[in-house]
Amino acid sequence: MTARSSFPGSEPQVKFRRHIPYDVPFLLVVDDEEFLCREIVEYLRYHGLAANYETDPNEAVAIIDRERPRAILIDINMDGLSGRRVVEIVQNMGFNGGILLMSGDPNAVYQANFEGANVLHVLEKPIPLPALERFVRGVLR
Amino acid sequence: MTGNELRSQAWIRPGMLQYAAGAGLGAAGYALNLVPADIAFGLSFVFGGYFAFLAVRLLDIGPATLAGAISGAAMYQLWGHPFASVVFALNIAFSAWMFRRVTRVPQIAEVVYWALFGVPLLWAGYRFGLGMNAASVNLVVVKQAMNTFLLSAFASATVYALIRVLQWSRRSSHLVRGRQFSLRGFITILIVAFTAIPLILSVVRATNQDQAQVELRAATLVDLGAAEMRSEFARVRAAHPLSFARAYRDGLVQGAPNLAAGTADAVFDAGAARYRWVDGKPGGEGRHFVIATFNLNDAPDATLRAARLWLPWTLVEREIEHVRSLGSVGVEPGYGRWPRHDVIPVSGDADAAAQTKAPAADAERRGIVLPDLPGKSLMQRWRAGAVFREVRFPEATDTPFVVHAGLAPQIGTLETSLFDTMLVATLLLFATPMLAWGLTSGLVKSFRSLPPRMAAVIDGRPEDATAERPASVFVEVSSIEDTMMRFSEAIARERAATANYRNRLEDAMHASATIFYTMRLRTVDPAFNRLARPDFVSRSVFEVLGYTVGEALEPDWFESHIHPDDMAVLYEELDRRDELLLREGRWRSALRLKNAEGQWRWMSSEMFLPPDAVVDADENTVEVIGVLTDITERKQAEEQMVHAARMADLGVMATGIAHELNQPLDIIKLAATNMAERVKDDDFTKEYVGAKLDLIVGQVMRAARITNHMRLFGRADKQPSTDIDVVGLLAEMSELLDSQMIGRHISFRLDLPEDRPVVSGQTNRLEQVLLNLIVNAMQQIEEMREGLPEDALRMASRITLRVRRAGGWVRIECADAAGGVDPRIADRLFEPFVTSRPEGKGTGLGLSVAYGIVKDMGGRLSVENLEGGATFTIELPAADPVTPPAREAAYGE
Repeated sequence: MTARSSFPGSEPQVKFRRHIPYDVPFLLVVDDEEFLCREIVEYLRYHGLAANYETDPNEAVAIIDRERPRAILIDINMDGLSGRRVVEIVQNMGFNGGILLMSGDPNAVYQANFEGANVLHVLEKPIPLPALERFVRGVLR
Repeated sequence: MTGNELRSQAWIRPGMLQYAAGAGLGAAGYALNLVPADIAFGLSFVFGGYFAFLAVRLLDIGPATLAGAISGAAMYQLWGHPFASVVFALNIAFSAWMFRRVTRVPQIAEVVYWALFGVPLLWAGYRFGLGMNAASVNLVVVKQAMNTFLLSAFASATVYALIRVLQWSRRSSHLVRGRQFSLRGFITILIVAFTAIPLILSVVRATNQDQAQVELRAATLVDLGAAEMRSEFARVRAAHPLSFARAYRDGLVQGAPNLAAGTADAVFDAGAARYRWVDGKPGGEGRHFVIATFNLNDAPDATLRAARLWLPWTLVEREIEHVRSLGSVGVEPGYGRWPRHDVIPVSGDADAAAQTKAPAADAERRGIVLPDLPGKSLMQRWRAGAVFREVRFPEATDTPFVVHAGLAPQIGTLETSLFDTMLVATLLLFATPMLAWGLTSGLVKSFRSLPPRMAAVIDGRPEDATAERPASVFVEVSSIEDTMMRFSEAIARERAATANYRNRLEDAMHASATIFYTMRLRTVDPAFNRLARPDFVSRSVFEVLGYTVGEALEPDWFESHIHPDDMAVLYEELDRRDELLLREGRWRSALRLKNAEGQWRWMSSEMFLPPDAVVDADENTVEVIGVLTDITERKQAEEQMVHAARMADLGVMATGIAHELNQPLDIIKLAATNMAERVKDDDFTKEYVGAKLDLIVGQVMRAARITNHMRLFGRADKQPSTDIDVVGLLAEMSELLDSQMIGRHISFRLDLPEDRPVVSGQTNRLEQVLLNLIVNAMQQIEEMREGLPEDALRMASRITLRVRRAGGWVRIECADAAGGVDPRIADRLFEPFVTSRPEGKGTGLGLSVAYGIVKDMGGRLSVENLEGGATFTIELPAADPVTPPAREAAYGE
């Protein structure tokens, strides 16, 4: 039996890498699109904010539990575990940091807003980076 | 109401009344069976059978069977064995069933019964149950079959006559209107009555002679003078109260009532009777058993000739017991081992018993063994006098007793012409009613008693069909006439309408939008068939394509007017065409022809091998019929429908596709923003910019792949047929589908084989089929999972695409776990506009289009409900049936 990921050209999964001292509040970006994560994190770091990323939503749950980021920016549509499910899990675990949802699917954004997801904000891709930077800066302060 | 239900209605109302009538008819038959009514050459039991067959005509199956069982019971009482009774009851039951359910001609039912059951059952019963010899059993079976056939005919004639009488008594006008019909029925009855019946009687007489002529050949018979005979007869009568002689004389033996007191004396006086001693001699005491035998051919008058010894088994057995109880030695122990045609070696010689210790040899020495003619036909054996009626009485003791009564070589008294007549009669008996039936179609109708409801339906008054049945049988009988008249008129109208059918067909052929042609194809060297030209083309070629017949018959016309693409395909198919034509008689294809205006027209091309086609032996050619039909509009409509279905699927996926496109655009934007920040701050290196540009180019390529795929998929134009790498196609599709599945929280799995099977067809068409199945599954999952608990939701939210090889086929399965196909529409799922979705949510086109595409590719599309969901299976002929290379080689790894 061959799973989808066995196709030639599928990208290797990148694990969370620790760049930030433990006592520094940071933002965790969770999206299965690694290039997107990298660009967001690069922008935020360039502007002096601590940020890291994880592409595997299950691993992200473990990191959130372990590292307790100050805030998370998480994609709604992910393979395996949806962003909303991740939020639900971490909130049940007692995570009380800031949560931002994002999606490229307007329907998903609308639905999340409509259903009143218990998050700070729901962002629609493409992410407006300057606005994100101001927002994150406020949260991490 | 179905035809069977209509036909199952009997004349007399169902229920207890019917059973009472059945019992009554059965009782009448039983009583009359016991009456010694030997009306004609042994036609005993005639009334019993007659009443039973009346019940067949008048009553339903159960009551008729009851009548048959009751009247047949008389045979058991008389003969002491159940074979005849059981067979007769079965006969009546089957006939009643046939009459009510299958045919309205009871005689057909009889023929079928005897062919299927009667002959084997009766034969086996008499041969093995009673131990009669085969030749005699054959005679009995034939006679019984003819008896019942005749009785059935009598009963039918009675009912028919009853109808006539009833109509006449009511002064019904139907009698006048039904004259022709009545005449036919009457003629039929006459044919049956005056042709078949005498022949049957001849046969019966022949069989009776077999029973009557007893052992003249046996030299063991003792000729006694009339006085001695009379004395012996009297002595036996006194000694054995139930002896044959007494039973015979007293008329107790069924079928032989004519030898009343005094008659026997007349027989003795005529010297026509002989006594046979089994052991002992005339006047001996206690040691003999006597069977009176009568040479009835020598009897003085016809009355006596009609009488014969009809052995009632019960009486014989009783007599044997009686003889044994007297202490009679009876027969010699060796008899049971004698050949079948041996006679009982008794004579007046006192030493006979001693001489027959070696029975076979002794019998032969004394010339008393009758000829055994193995392998000879019944007729030959009959003529040689070797046909015997054998009555064998199994014995528990060591004194088996065998009585042989049969035809002797002196059979000359039985005219051979009579036997010939019997055979002819047998044939005619069955052939005559059939012949009459064929000649007068009214025969069948005359025996049919169609209820008025059927007439009502035929007349377009269905409301009357549900009305209460008329209480009176008279009304119903009259309406049968009406119905038959209407049938006749309808048939006449139909005949008139089809009188010029052939001419009209030819006119239609020339005037239709279809081109007919004929062509001779070679049955050997089919390669030459590529050069075959039509011999005939219908004039409609002008209406359809704008060419004259002369133009269409010109050499190379076809090649110069067929679309080049189709020409190549056609040449590839020609070998298959000939094979299919000769094997299945039909071949079908589609091609484009250029009309006189230069436009391409899609034509359906069909060729047929006529069922009566004859191969020309000289030239090894056979003429086939070709039909070309303009299907351009239909093709265009199909194309539009396929395109519409494709667009509908794309529409369902639009949101996911937008998301899929947004991803690379998003990354490009973010990368560009980051780069711009660095450039603005002058904080960048050449490598940094190079990496960003590489990233941007990569994402642009990614977006381009998606849009290209969409463009290829969405275009309506026809692609050429190519080899499709199924695994590769699915890999490409998964790029489109992944985001769809993620967005819809559906687990999507590909289960692929080690090799890479290849099929032949148009890539975008196969992709359309796959996409349609997947979109359907997605929608189905989304509709059914609302409100499901989490575990169930996870179980239901999965789609699996599985590819396998199966022989020369490639199977692609698309399985979901979303509840499966609604069984109410499962049979029609692939028909257009059939959908299980709520109104407005599905076009009902997708699956029918997919079905058509797969069929065009020479494959099959099917669905079954498995594992809580639906599994759609596409089966396509593999274009690479040879074992493909291993996966590594295929991937070039």
